[in-house]
Amino acid sequence: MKKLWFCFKKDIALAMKSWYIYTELIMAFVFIIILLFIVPENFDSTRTIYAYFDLKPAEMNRIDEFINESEDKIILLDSRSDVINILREEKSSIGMVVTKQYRRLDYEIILQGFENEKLKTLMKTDFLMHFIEETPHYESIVTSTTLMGNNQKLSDRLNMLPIFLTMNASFMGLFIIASYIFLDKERGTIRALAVTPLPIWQYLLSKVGLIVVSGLLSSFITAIFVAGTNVNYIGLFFLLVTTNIFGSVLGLFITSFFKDMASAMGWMYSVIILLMFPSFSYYMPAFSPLALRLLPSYPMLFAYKELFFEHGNISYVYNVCLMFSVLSIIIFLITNKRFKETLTI
Amino acid sequence: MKRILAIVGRDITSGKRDFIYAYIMIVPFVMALILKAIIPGVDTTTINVAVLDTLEPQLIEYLDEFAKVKEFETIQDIRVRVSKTDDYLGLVKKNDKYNIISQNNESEGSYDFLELIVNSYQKDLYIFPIDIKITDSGWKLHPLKQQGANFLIIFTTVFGGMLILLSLVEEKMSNTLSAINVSPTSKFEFIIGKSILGLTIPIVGIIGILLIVGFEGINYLMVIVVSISLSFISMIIGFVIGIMNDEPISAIASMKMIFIPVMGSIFGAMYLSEKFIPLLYWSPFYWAYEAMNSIILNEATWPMIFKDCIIITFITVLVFIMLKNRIKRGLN
Repeated sequence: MKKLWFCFKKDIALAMKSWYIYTELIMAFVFIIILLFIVPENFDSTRTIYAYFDLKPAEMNRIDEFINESEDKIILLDSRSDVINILREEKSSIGMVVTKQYRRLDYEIILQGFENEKLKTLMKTDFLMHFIEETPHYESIVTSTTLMGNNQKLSDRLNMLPIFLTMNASFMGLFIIASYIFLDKERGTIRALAVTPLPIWQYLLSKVGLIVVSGLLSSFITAIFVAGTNVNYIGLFFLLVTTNIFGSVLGLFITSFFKDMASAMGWMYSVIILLMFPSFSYYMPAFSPLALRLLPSYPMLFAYKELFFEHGNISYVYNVCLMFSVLSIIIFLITNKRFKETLTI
Repeated sequence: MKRILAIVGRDITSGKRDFIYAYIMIVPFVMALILKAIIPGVDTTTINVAVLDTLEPQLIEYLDEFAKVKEFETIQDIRVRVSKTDDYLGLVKKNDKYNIISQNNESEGSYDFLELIVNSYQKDLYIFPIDIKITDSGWKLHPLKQQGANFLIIFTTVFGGMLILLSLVEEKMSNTLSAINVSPTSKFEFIIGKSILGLTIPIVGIIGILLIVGFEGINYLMVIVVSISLSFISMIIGFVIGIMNDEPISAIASMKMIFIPVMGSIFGAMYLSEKFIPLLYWSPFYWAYEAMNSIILNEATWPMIFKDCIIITFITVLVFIMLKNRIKRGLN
């Protein structure tokens, strides 16, 4: 254990001499500045509706009332073709055209065209319900039950932190640890392990320790500045340690198959981009296919998120910690065996 | 020219040994395939509803028109499902009413949508002198397909830059860089030779991504022209980081910093309002995003494309002039 501690201290000292730790810190501060000064607390989610009402002035009174009461931003235009033209420019907006046929009002809701059938039916029903809800005898047939536990929503700004913690802290270390190993391979220092009393697992663990320390440092700084006291710091510590170890061990595992950084780069880069895909489910939790749930970044994203809730599901966080600890041990054992076998190659 | 080709040939030979270029060519294609596989899933997602299997079949059928419905045997099963991390709402009949079980932390609008759907179940009881129809402006391209492909394209370019960077750091570490000083190859020839693979490989990747994701009807000549100017960004990344760092660790750590302007430019172009867009004019990634976006949307004209390409090239040249001495020193 003394040898491991010595090796770890040496790695930290070398990292302090190189740019690595400082780049990590600069990256954390840049991210803090972006989040605090550029990203708003919450994004404006008001929908814009471009509308044309082909009605007589007397009939427009009710329309004015409708516009004033609407939660959407309604912009009036002079013709249907104007509505279509502006929709072609603004792809996130929708259009509406109202015309009168004898005593009946015809409402045309104009969407972009990429929306699926379910959404179209939903829009139509939503619109119809505005009228139904205004009828005198209307009564809702819905009651509500909220489950105990976390029922809080994160601000859009805080909601970005789990992405940073997962991708930057937990997985980008994968590149760094690979660089360290390849550098030692290049310089031949890794071969010296064959004739020194330092076991290979301690050498590898020391590198993992370095990544964990730098991950903890940049992540804690970011969390303190952006979330302040709204974080479970004990949970954050354990989750950062276990996920950083997992990311680094995964990096070591990939590294064990290659002789230099250039040949490993394609795989590393693919793994990072692949691990970004669960961000879709993170921002759209209703879309969580099994293929994305199986990727390690999926539970990480949601576990980090739980830490920012006042009554977050901490048992879920610790289960994720446990799962990554077990996975890390398994991968580390396999990696250690591979390194032992290929040490002098 | 002969000497430049010799440098390229040497890079290809060393790359062939480890199948590096095979991996690098395949990576963007695999990512494009994953994106293509995800798009239909995202497209059909609205809300997920957990119901008891004893709920009236007509209501289940009605819910199915709007949402993804899953049946469970007991209320406890529904509660367990709802409390998981993804978004699921429970729906249980209670006397004459329907009870929505939620965690209250679901995505914005999910609860309101289910409430609306359930309340509209009996909408036929109401008759109004109105007619509602849904039409569209004819725009069939899904935003995920548009933005996802563009995102992958920019990242493929960054990847090209990483190749140049690694190749330079490798040369530095094996001390072959100083050998250039005593060889007949000039520094300019060396830079060009080292850049060619990092420049050409992303072009193949970009075209592959667009074909796989499904952009058959776009102007591919424009794609090639923009891809060439996009490749200049690779050169900026590769040379600036590659020259400034002597070993791969600091080079890789610096590379992480590159992701900030890349992501900032892409997301800025996507979400910033018109008045803030000029804040991104300094970034070649912004112009690259704009040019590729206009091609994907079939809105690009040659003058637009030339303007964007000239700006990207101008920024590249400017960066090289600014760092000329630093690059010279680094090559020594």
